[in-house]
Amino acid sequence: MIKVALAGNPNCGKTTLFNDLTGSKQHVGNWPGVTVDKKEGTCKKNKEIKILDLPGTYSLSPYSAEEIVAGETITNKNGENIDVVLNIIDGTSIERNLYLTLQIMETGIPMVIALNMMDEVEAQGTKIDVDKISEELGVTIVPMVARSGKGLAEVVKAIEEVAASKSTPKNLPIFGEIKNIELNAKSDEEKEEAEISVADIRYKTIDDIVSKTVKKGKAATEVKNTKSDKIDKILTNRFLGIPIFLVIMFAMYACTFSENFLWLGINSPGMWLAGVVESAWEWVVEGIAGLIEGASPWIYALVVDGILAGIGAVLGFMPLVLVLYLLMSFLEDSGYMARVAFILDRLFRKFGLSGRSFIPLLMGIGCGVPAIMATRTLEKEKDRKITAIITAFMPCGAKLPIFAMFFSTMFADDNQTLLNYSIYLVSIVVAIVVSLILNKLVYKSEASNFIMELPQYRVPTAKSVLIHGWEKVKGLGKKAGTVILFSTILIWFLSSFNLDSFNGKNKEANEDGCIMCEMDDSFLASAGEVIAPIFKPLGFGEWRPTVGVITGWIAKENVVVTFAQLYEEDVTQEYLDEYFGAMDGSELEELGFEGGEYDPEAAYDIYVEGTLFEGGDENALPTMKDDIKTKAAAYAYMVFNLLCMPCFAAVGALKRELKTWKATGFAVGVQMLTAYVVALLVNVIGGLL
Amino acid sequence: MTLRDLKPGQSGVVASVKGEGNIRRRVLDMGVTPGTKIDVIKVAPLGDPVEIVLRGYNLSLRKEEAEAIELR
Ligand SMILES: Nc1nc2c(ncn2[C@@H]2O[C@H](COP(=O)(O)OP(=O)(O)OP(=O)(O)O)[C@@H](O)[C@H]2O)c(=O)[nH]1
Ligand SMILES: [Mg+2]
Repeated sequence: MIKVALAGNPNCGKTTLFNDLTGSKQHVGNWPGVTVDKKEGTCKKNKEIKILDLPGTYSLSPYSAEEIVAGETITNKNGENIDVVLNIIDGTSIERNLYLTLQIMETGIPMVIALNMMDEVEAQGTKIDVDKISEELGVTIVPMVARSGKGLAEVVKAIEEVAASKSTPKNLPIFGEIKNIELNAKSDEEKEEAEISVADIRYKTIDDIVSKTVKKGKAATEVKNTKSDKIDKILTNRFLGIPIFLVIMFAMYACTFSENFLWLGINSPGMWLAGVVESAWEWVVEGIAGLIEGASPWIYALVVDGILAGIGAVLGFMPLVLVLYLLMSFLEDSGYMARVAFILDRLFRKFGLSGRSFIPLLMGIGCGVPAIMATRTLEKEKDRKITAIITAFMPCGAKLPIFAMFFSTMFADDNQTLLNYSIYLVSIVVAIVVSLILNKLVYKSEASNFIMELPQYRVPTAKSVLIHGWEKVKGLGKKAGTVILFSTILIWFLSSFNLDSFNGKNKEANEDGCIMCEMDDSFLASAGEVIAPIFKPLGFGEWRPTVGVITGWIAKENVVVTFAQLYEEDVTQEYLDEYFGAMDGSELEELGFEGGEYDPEAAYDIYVEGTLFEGGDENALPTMKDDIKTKAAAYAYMVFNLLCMPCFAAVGALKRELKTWKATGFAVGVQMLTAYVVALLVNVIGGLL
Repeated sequence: MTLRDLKPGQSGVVASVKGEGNIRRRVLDMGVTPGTKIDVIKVAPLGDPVEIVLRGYNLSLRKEEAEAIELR
């Protein structure tokens, strides 16, 4: 077996090449610091070759947390036992990339160089004498284009050869010189001097090699003249930069949620797709319900009211999350993310953070788990910790259904677009305030910093954007089939049974001998009622909403799943209009509409009083409005779920980044306290309005 | 004179790099070594950080950090 580590500067194309070689679908994005952990795969062309993707690093002396992994692996300090290092070089900034190359050569490990981005090198008109560099360094160099897979076969061949011959790179005379300087530096002052000299010696060597082998094209030498620079002139323009950023955020949002897309009076792609999925799902449910109609009532209840209702509540929102994700990966692949960090750094510094904190926060709108992991690339511990804590406040894809559920019921008459915005506003404002407070009270001293490479703008490939989308859908599907399905069954069980189910008392009491109980007497109700009083001041101190909050910690989608199971669906105006619209004058008059004329305002009362509701079933469950009575309480409920402890998966990610359970407990405590205080404010102040 | 004193459109040559250990090492690793030519491209909309070009790539850093880079 040959073990190969992919090493190189951030954003040079390591993961793209890793995906090419192994056929995996790891996250690729056009900004430095996408990969934060090592990942192993097997080469498709030669199963004997194991490949390790690593985070990018500019040097073997670590700077931020994820770079340590790279450094330790290459220098074989963490027991990975690498046979060959595949050093990837971004041909468009060959000097800076060769710095790491020299350091890897110094370790004396067998290596191969993949000279990547040759398409862009050629577009710049730059000529690189590959053979000559190869000769200077004593390392095989394969020019390639990882994005299109060009040069792949040659890379594999070069790895095989080097692994067989175990040939090491040339021992350049400067290596000895560097060692001497480092050994002789004793005092701090001397060490500081040594650092400069060593960096200087390496770059002098590089300059020497590059001057002999690289003829830079016009586009590469004239500052501010590449296509990328021209785009940048507009996107980070002094006056336009911030307005453009806001417009892009708005557009992303409108594409996903708007019911009046671009004021055209049509649904946005996201909403449209959500409608399609919903109708398709209704059709499936009807089919399944028809199939098992004859089965025993409890099977019917479990399948239709439990599992199908639960999964359906989540499924309808999948398209929204998908569209949001597709748009976000477009942003990620374009190179704009790094620019936003650049634009916003000044603002973030006011809150004690760095502009880079923006990237995890934006990712948090998709899913908190990778977002929290992305905080690893922040250099300062303080930035990392605070950003990880506040990233959990973002309205991630799994929380969206909660808001949509309330908007369409409790807030049906209000402006939906504004409501949607208000949620984002709340999460951003809370994130800022909490960050300020943590900065003042907890992490006083450390200043943050900001040193970031701004990559070239690139046209996102359809392939990579679609892969992102597909991976997301697959992930959601898996989640629906495992965690959410499991929760659904658990909720059904706990809300249908109690102790008396199993000692025969229910069987005696129920006429039909069924051992199930009334929902209000179930295990779930009893447990919920113990905790519910805590939420009284927030306006939702009943057991059902309480259970919603708790199941939300397993997965935030569970909140709507729980509601779908524990509440009767509310009658909406739309439903009423449709319901009565199908009737003629005499029927309407008979039901109590004056003069046989349909009156939308009277419709709800007539519907409920006429016991049309649930066919007059007195066992009908309450509706959401019975427990969460006011708009203030509803908003408080949304805000609480938005800000409180994230799902367990995200807490796990928090633990990984914060290292200790103590720090994780502190983070969760901050989140809970914040959620409680803000929801309380919403309920109290909202109640006064 | 330091890098901070340059306006967009101006350029300078690095004389030495001062500043706090970690940040200093990072800047050196990224190619800001004595003798390197640096072009200042622009200042961010809110007045900080700045964008520079060196060794064929674009880098952004805060003015505070730019102050530690002394020019000839
Ligand atoms: N034009 C061009 N773009 C490429 C090539 N290889 C990779 N890219 C693009 O470069 C960007 C970075 O690619 P990644 O594979 O994520 O880079 P990485 O080295 O894994 O980056 P980190 O994980 O952040 O260290 C993406 O936008 C890729 O599409 C190439 O050969 N040509
Ligand atoms: Mg990567």
